[in-house]
Amino acid sequence: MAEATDIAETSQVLQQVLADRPDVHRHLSDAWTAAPGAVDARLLSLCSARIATLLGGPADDAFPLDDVTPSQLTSWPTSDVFDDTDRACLAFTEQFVIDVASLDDATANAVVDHLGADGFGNFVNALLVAEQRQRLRLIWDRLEVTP
Amino acid sequence: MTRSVRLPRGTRIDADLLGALVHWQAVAVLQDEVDPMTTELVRLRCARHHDCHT
Repeated sequence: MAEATDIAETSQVLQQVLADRPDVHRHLSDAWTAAPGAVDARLLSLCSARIATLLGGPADDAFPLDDVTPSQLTSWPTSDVFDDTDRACLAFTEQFVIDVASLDDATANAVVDHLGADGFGNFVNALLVAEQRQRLRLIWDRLEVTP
Repeated sequence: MTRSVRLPRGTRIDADLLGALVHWQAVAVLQDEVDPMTTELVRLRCARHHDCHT
């Protein structure tokens, strides 16, 4: 999903804001580096892009997505671009972002059905990293603390 | 709110990602320059995230 080039990349924003706290940035960086190795990278990018849409922020450069258009992603429940695994994970992602404490068993179990228990645990951890990056970036943008 | 166990005993979580998350969260909570109001809002948000009632 292409983004306008005049918008700073999320990785750049995180690095700039955390410049005085290199240990914090290093550990966050370690987490987003590890995330694509723990789950299917395309699936994580897909869900990261959906998070960006829901939160109203730019796509996260750490998890690039090249083969899906914004309109396809918006219509993920019906678009034939996505398979059942994609849909289960996107449904989970939406509830995760909107109200994580209200995630229901059916939505969680649908992901387990496709990824297995190990895959589900890793997917949730990776999703947390993707969400935290974007929420931090958005907060710092709005507080105008980005150098 | 649901309290069902979703990860069965023996679930194997990617050690690199889990370790990185643990370290990231540990170093984040050690930051002491956040004002009390924001700190409380974050605490409440995290409690809801973890279904914690303390």
